Amino acid sequence: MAAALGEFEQLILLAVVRLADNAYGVRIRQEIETRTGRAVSPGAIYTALDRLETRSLVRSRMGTATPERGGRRKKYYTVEPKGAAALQRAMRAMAQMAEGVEPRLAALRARTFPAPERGR
Amino acid sequence: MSHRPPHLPRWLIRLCLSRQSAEVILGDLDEEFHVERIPREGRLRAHLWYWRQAVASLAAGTSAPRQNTHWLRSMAGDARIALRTARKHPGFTLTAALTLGLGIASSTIVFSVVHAVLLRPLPYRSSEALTLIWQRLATTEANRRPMPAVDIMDLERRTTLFEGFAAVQRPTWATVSGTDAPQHITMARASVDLFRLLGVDAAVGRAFDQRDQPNGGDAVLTVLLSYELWQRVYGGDSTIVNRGVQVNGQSAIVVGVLPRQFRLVLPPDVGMPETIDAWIPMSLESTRGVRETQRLRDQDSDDTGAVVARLRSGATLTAAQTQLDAAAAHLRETVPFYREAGLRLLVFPMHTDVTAHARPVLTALMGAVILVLLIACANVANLMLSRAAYRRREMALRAALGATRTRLMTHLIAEASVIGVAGGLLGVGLAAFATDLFATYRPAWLPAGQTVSLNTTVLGFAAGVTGIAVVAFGLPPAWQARSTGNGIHVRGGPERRGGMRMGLVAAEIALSTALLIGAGLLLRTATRLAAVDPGFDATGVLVFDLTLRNTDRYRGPAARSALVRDLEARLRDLPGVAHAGLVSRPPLSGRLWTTEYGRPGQAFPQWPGNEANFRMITGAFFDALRIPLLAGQTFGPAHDRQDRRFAIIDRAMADRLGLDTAAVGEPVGFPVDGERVWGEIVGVVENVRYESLTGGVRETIYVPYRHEASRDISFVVRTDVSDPTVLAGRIRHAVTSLDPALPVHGLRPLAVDVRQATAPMRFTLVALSTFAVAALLLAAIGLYGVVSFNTARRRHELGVRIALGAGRTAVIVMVVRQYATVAIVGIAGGLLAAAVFGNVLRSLLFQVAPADPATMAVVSGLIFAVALLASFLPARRASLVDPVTALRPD
Repeated sequence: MAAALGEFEQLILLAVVRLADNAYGVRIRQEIETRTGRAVSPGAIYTALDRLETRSLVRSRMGTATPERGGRRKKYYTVEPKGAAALQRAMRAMAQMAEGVEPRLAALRARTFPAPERGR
Repeated sequence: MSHRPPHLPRWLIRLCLSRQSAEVILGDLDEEFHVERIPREGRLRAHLWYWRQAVASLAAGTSAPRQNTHWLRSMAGDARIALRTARKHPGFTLTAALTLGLGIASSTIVFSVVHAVLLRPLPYRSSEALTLIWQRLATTEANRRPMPAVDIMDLERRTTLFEGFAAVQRPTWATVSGTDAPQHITMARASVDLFRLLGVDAAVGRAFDQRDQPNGGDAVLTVLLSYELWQRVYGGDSTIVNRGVQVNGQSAIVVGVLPRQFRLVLPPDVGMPETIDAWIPMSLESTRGVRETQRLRDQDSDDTGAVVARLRSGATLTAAQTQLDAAAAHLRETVPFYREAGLRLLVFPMHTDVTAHARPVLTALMGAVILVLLIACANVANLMLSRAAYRRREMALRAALGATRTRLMTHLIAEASVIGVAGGLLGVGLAAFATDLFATYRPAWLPAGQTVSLNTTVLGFAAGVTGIAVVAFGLPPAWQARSTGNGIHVRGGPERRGGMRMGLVAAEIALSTALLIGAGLLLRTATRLAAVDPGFDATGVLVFDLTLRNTDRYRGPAARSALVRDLEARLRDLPGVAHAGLVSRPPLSGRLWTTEYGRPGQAFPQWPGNEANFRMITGAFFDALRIPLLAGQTFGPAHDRQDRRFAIIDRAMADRLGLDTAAVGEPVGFPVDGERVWGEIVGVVENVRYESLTGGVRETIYVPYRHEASRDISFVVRTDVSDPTVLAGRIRHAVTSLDPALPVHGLRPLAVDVRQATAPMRFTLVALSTFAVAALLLAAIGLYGVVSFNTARRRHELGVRIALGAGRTAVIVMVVRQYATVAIVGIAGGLLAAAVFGNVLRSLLFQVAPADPATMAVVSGLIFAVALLASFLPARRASLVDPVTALRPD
């Protein structure tokens, strides 16, 4: 069985799936940033995407150049069947492990940080 | 797209990442920058965002093991570890980076000036082919003098290697009709070929061509405006082209506007101001009259300031000079005056010629900043060596665990590079700030060819300097690390005495001694200059300029003289004014006017051997400037008569004529409009320095204003109020009440001109002193650091000494004496270096020898005192140690 997906890799694969035909650097970055509040650099995204591509989990193709990119071309990504399978596996594993845990997490959290609104 | 993403991060990404990744990443960054960040967050935040993303991308991209080659990976690893080390010791990193940053900043700033002035070509098309042509007469002392424009016709016939020649006359003042009031401007006359030869096209309309060639008589005057005048007076209205304007009350057609910031850069002794507001064409034919009267030079008939020529492509300077020699030989044959005066023609590359005067200053400053940089490197090397001594165990441990020597050295070099990059960035930041300032407040004496900026070459220089610095301060510790590795240091064994550190300190002291001596010499020069008697008293004197070129009102000397008489009376009657007099060109104004002169019995060709300042004045001029009358009398109404000519000469000319005060009543000859005239000497006055404070005193001949009545004049007004500028309004009113169309121009205290005359020297003094003080501080910090470090390590030994009964004073003396020896070695080296460095300064010094014993003694003493203090402080601290603590094992 192939190596499991890391958390960041899962985020990227999810973003690529969500964006469908429009999955390229800027959009992927913004998708992750707006949905998770996590700022990631283009360099980190491409490093991860390259890794996923060598594992045949995603496929890339070069798009058209636009003036606002200084005449450079976009690089679009799509998820390969193998990638979809890996993502599904990871999400199911996570879901199964997470089942029913939420209330207990809330309780634990309340004990550690009795007054979260005042900060640490 | 008005905003462009920052360059540096883009360049870094392209440099460090593979082409493919760089392209996609840059595409993403640019897209988001333009589409999202700029519209939403504004320029500054968008730039910050870009930088942050780029740096993060670099970090992610370079640390990915995937496509990096082996050495790159190991280097990236080294860099990461080095960065971590740097962060762990912020004090050390900051000190080192700051020291280095100051060194890099100062050398980058000075280099940016050197690059703009000395290295970059002049801002004209293929400017390397541009030359200046001068004449030299065997009978004169001057190396070169302007060639009369009339000779150009001979050169055009007798040479083949030049594309063309263009004469430029010294500018005059003029009035032009503006949008409302008439404007006082500076206007120059030039051959119509000038702009074609320079390769300068008009920004609007056209530059001069053959159509503008004045052929005498009825042709309409054409005029070319500077961009700045066009903006200032005509509001940048492009319909001005082909329209008529009034120049000196005469109608003229504007043919075009020159490009923004166009400057004709000429050597300063030509007396060409930086800004010429308007150009009018000059005809060679009109100067033909001069030739017939045997080429006497005086300003009204031929005021050629310089002749510009362009070499044909492929022509060498030597070949061109050979052709000029032949042309000069022909001129000597055809013109008797030239035969007797021994004419030669000389060609110089224009760039060399116009920058020659700035070269010594810039060379001295470049030398100074290199010394500062070396001292900074020595300091950082010392810091690193000291730290390396502490890290012996770490290094030994690494070696024991299998690190090769190369690996250890690479690691240390990576650490040095981190400090180098930090210092380099800091230096470039400081330099960017300073060059911006410099571009705004450029000293007026620097040739105006190119603006000073941080361009690619300058940045490349900064990068190169940083690289060399990294090697310079990174190598000593790395070199020391090479001997690590035999295992004994793991336990913390004996250490060496640190001879390398002492050597570096001695070198630092030597360098700062040399630099401080340079600054000291300039300081002595400054005091000598301040003590120079300019021959006049400028305190409380105001000066202003007028031009009487409106031909309708002031046609002829009589009309102009009448106006001057009225104006002088009005000025004198103003409350607060003691004296008011006229002079054609005030002292130290940078506007020269010289003439040949002769005494009875002197053959005419010998005249050019006598060169004097020529000034038209009214009698009150001497009172206004408090110039003492030594014999005879000053000009009065009696000297305005037209049937005879009169002159007042200065002491220098009286000496030259061998007459002393007996000169009164004797004749002196001088040319007027190409004719020789004789004037009776009516008085002798004290010498005045008209050209510069430093050079020799050139003799001066004064004639009554009434006789020549130059149209460009200046008034000097002596006031008896503490702040003369309060009279400005009254003076302006006095002039406009006489003639509202007369613009008062350049009203200023005369002291301003005097200050201007010493500007290059003061600039060098301030810059060099700043660098010298910085060097001394750095050297003192370096010595202090080394002494502190060494005494701290000798705590044990010193503790034993004190425990065994050595007095604290004895301990202090012992430590200080050791470093005093280092200081003496350094000072001796510095004196030696100063002997070499001093010669670079020679041309900037005035009445001070480059090897001035007093300066050397004072500087040596000062440095020695600073060195003693820097070693005394840590020595005293060491002597206060409690022997019990000192003897306790660590």
